[in-house]
Amino acid sequence: MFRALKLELYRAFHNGLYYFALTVACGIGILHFVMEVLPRTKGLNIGFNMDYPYSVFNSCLPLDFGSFHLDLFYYSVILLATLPYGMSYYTDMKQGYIKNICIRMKKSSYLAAKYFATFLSGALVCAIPLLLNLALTMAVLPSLIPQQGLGIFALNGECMASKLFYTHPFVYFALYLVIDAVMAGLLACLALAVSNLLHNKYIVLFVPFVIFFTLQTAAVYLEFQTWGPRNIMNPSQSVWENKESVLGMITALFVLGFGLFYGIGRGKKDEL
Amino acid sequence: MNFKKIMAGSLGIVGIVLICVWGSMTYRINKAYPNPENIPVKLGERTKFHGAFLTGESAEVLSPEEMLENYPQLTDTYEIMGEEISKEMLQDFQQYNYMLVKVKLVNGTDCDINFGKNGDALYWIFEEGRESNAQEMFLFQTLNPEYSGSGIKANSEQEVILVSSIMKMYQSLEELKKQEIKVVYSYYPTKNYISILPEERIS
Repeated sequence: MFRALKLELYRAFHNGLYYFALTVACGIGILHFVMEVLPRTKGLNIGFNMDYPYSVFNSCLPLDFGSFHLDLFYYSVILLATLPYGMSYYTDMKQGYIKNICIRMKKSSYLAAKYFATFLSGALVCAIPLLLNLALTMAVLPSLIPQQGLGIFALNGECMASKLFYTHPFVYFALYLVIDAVMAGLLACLALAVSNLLHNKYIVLFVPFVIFFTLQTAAVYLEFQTWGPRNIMNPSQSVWENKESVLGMITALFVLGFGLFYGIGRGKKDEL
Repeated sequence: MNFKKIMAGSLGIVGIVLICVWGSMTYRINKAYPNPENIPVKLGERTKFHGAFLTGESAEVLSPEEMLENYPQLTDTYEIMGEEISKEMLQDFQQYNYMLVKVKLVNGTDCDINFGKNGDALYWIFEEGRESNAQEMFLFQTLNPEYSGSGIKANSEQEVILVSSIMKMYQSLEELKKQEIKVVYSYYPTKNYISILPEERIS
């Protein structure tokens, strides 16, 4: 198992697509910093006691509600998270690599390692740009504690973990970093789950994004907005989230993704 | 020494320099704009306010029915607007619970004090539990018809009734009555507020 994991992690993080996806995602973070955060550094001196200077917690990418870059990031990150390693199982099967692997190690070890490596690469493609954007924002804007009465911070009292946001905003940021990374990682793994069922690697690449978009649209249409994956990932909580839908969606994605991938993968015989 | 080692060493040095620069910038910006210190004053406690004195005198949490009963001038104002508008406004009025805080501003000096925008009580914000709200402009003006907001004359005092509301669907009257209410009159550079505990209120 350890050997399989080492090999899969090496393959996941030593490929051009990983660096490409990371560069594009970080590019969005940097673009947001240049276009949205830097102009705010000129407006820090306020002359009105009931006003508040710009803070990291209403300016960094995930908490800059209403920003174009926020939508751009959260929609593109699913595709970018799938790009590095989501298609690898498909290409392993098509190129016969899996046959060579399975005579050297247990198939179950290979499958588990593949799932974990895909999850991790997807999660990091989501988390690193957010951390980079936070670090850049922290260098030019003060980390002033959010004030709920001002209406310039994303969350209101009804939002999930709003008390945490208004008392320990860095912990709130970390909580959402984990939620976002886990969601991006699990959605990227859906590409593995459908690799056995499809016959074109580009369709495999787009499946997580299509599922993400379809679930989001269905959630909005059926008025189960808190279950929309886009809403779950959004730290600004344009829809007031709750623990049940966040944990429910994460569990559903894991069960569906890992169950399909591992179930079909274990059952399938790779003829030598 | 091979090329890879030189590259790794150089990148390491650049990384350390970048982290130091980032740390220094972060430290400087947070030193220039520190978090606001919380400065609460209790109900009945007198505090300085832009050259005058400010005292939170009393506070009430009321249902819409109690509000109309205690402040009949509201009904009169609605009635002036005609039956249709009055009906609509009263329907809207019923959806909220109300918080009222009476404050007194005292100018003991021989000079008029001009507060400017920073002293206008209309901008003060109510924070209650997990909710917060600005003041109801219409109610504020109805309850304080003579309030100018610009300042206070020499050797005079002025009473102002601050009023804010919260939708019943967000907080019931019972919940609201158990909350500490903060009337914030400055957010930065210090957060100053009148802190009103449940046991200090009239109702």
